[in-house]
Amino acid sequence: MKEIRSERSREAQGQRAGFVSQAIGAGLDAAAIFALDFAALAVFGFLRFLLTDKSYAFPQPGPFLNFVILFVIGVALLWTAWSGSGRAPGMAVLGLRVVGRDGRRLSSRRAFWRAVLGVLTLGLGVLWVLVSKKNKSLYDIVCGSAVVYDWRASLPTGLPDSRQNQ
Amino acid sequence: MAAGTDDGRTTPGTDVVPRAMPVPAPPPGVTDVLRRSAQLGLGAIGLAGRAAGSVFARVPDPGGDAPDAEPGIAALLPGAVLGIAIEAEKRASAVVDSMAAHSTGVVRAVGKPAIVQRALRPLEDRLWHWNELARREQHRNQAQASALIPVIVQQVTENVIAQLDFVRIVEQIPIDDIAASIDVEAIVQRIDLGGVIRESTASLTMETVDAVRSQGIGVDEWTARVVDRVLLRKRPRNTGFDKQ
Repeated sequence: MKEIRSERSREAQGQRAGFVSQAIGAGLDAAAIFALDFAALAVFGFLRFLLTDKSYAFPQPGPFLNFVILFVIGVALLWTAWSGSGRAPGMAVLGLRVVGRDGRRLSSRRAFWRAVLGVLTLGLGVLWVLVSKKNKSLYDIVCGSAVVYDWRASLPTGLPDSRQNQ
Repeated sequence: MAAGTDDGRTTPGTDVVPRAMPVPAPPPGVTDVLRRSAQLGLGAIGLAGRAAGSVFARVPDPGGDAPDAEPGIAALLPGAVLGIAIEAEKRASAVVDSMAAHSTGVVRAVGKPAIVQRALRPLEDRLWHWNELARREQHRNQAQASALIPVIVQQVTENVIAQLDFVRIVEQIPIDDIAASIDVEAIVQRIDLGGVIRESTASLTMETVDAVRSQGIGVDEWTARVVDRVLLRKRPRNTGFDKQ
């Protein structure tokens, strides 16, 4: 694994990320969700064209159905990412990782509720990082999580064991 | 150093004369050194003779148009002389060994009585004196030799290099033949060019990403400072994890 050259960046590893990084990460994740939604609709339209007599047309679901599709895709994507590696696609680009309050891997239950809350609030809970003394977003406060700088694939070490995140 | 009273006078018979340390004996005995020196000397003579023969054979003899004489019994003389020298060296070594073995016992038996020891004391003192002298002088001699050897080696090396015609030597190297014998394709096949390119590309990409991320951290810190100033906060943010 290549070493991080910048000393300031090395020291920031394992610390809670600031507003701009979290906001850009959330924006990139939202873009990934929209891209998956678009791909899902395109595949659906293609399959419909193959299996029926109808000519090809891009599906145009109504607002409610579209929201449900986006919700399901968003929750599935963020839940699996945060409960696994801790990195959703946008966060992976910026070298961020979602961890538990104690710095260890976020539990599946907390990751699920964080994903639900994140999609329902359209990621706007990140704004709380601006005024938080500990760089905590609304999701971190509610779900007991934290977003940290972690450019390389390793969780912060040396932290005490805790059941708080189980 | 003399043992005595406080006023500096010494008491007769109480003088302590320090004894000099003997020169450390070389690992092999004297006879061994002589024997090995003789053997090495004879070996060196043999090698020198062979080298001289090779050199003379390569240098054309201006007056040597006459055909070489048939090798006769005279050709055996150098080898025979060498054999005699080796035999003489072996016998001399045996005699020296025998004498050394017998003389040790005789000297020990003769030197045992007190009267003989007392008589030999001046001789022993003299020997100690010479021994100390040798120890001191030998240190200086060895230091001088150590300093001189690199100078001699350098001088000899420079003289040898000055005699060499490097252009002629380089011209004699068959560069074309060597280049023709190199299987470039096999070498290229052994080099994982794809891996090298992949690794360098990945490294470059990672450095670019790191630079962008580093800028992100800087903007994060700047934003936090601005907001904290607006909110009139004095203490910096705690972005670490609390110990639990």
